[in-house]
Amino acid sequence: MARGSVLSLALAAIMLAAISSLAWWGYKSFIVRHISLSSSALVKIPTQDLPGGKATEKLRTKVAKLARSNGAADLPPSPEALEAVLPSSVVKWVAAWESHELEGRGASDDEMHALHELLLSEAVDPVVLCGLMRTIDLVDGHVSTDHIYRVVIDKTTATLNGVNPPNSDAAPLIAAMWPLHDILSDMHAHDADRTLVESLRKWETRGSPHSLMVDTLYAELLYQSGDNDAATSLLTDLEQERKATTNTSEGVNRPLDWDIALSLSHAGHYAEAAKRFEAAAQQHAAFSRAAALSVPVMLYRAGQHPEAIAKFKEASATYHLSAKEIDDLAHQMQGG
Amino acid sequence: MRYIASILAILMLGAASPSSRPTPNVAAEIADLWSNDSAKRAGAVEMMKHTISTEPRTGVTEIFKSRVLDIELPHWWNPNHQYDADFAAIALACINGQPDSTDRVQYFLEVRIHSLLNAGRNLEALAAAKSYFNVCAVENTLKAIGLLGDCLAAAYPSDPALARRFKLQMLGVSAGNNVLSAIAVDASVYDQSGFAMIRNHDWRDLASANLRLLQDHPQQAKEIFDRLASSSTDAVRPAGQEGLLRLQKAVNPLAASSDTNYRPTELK
Repeated sequence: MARGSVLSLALAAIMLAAISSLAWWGYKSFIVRHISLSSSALVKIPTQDLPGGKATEKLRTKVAKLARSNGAADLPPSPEALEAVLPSSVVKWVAAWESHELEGRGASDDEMHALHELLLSEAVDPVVLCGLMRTIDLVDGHVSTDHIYRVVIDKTTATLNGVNPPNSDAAPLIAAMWPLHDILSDMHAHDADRTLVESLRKWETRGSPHSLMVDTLYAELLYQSGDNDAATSLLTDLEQERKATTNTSEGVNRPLDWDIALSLSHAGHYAEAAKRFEAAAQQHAAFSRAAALSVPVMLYRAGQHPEAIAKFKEASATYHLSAKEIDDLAHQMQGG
Repeated sequence: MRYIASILAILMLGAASPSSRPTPNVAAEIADLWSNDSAKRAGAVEMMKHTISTEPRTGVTEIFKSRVLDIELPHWWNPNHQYDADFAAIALACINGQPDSTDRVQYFLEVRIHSLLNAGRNLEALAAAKSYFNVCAVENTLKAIGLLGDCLAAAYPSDPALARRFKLQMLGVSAGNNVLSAIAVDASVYDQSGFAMIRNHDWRDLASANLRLLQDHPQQAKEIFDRLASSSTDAVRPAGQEGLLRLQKAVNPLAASSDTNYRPTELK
């Protein structure tokens, strides 16, 4: 009996041990499975969407900035607000313009000419002037011409130059000028834009995100006006500065390599341009094809014929070029 | 013991398999959209649709990162606009696939608006532009007004005053009946299909609030943004505060007319 009890107890103990180890094994495998699944799911979520980190910091800064301006969108002033501060002759023009818009037609060439004359002769606060141009542009599209903006920018710049830095009087003027850049850029009004950006460059504090932006804009304008060596030099400096100060994730900014490659190419520095185009092709899908196809052209023009032909074949295969495109590319390589 | 360890190792491998499963090189296949070979381009479009439907989150990320749908690109590969309807559908799937990422929602809405305009589906583009206006960041308000103006002009070419009147209303001019409030949005195109992938309940709330803005039900988003804005979690609060600012912009456009029930004939 005693022997039977001992055997039974031993069997029970073995069974208990087996059940416990099975339970522990099951629990462990559950934990392992659970943790692994959670990790695998998290891997798929882009880091910038996770709580904390740089994205949250960026958002916080944005919220703080917006909160300071009461969340107001940066809309141009209303015609009513403009009429309260403009000279009577310009008020009359704005009222006529508004009624024409409501009828469904934009300002005519004659009306814009009349505005130009008024802006030349009347003393208008430059901040108000910038606001007026933004209002017209929003409602009417880019009907204004380069020479009207030239008046606006000259007046604003003259006022800025009369303010000794550092002076808080400059801040509203600079803030009013910034949005005009987008309009001028869309209009391809490079001359007026360059004056605007030169003026902004003088005033933005060195080392600020704005100064980096305004310098990049200036380099682009240098390139557009044919000053390629100066553009390349400035862009190369900016590249170093940008690497040190900003994080350009997910290709939000277009590659600086693209701009540098273009200006190097136009300045005749083909070998260096080829390297920059190659880098640009890797950085941004939107530029990859154009940049990759430019590489053999640059290499050929630099006299590196075997490398150019190898890249030419590579690009033809990668992008499945048509016979016509191959002809065009070959023509370009030979300086066409 | 060795046996148990082996079983455990096998189980661990099994558990990890969802992430280590070999997946097609989505990025490479999407890049085929650049190909001059029309079959490859068609394959890339199909690939995007397939990825979005099977692995929405990965699909959205890959398509977003590839920037193949960039609206500023010359559409040399789509000269006959044969893919515009596909791009509009892919963009919509991306919006629904990751509604908690406000930046991506804005990006894909822009793609959708342009694709719909290219496809001649101007009324749908107009509705999408209103969703963009509702959901976009405050600093994109001007862009939203521009998009709405373009869509109004495309949808109602016989009434050139409409877009101009709308823009003047946005600047505070009292110019007849409110054009913005007359633009209808089909709420059913935006759904919760991407919600299951969002494990964090705060980000799921953010997705839910964005969804309501997209559907043109901004008032329903208020309670959610309020809750997020008063969260004790440092990472969540800014998202709620930013959402409240977006909401404020959506419900109080500067030129809201008092007669919001009016539907002009041309917009019925």
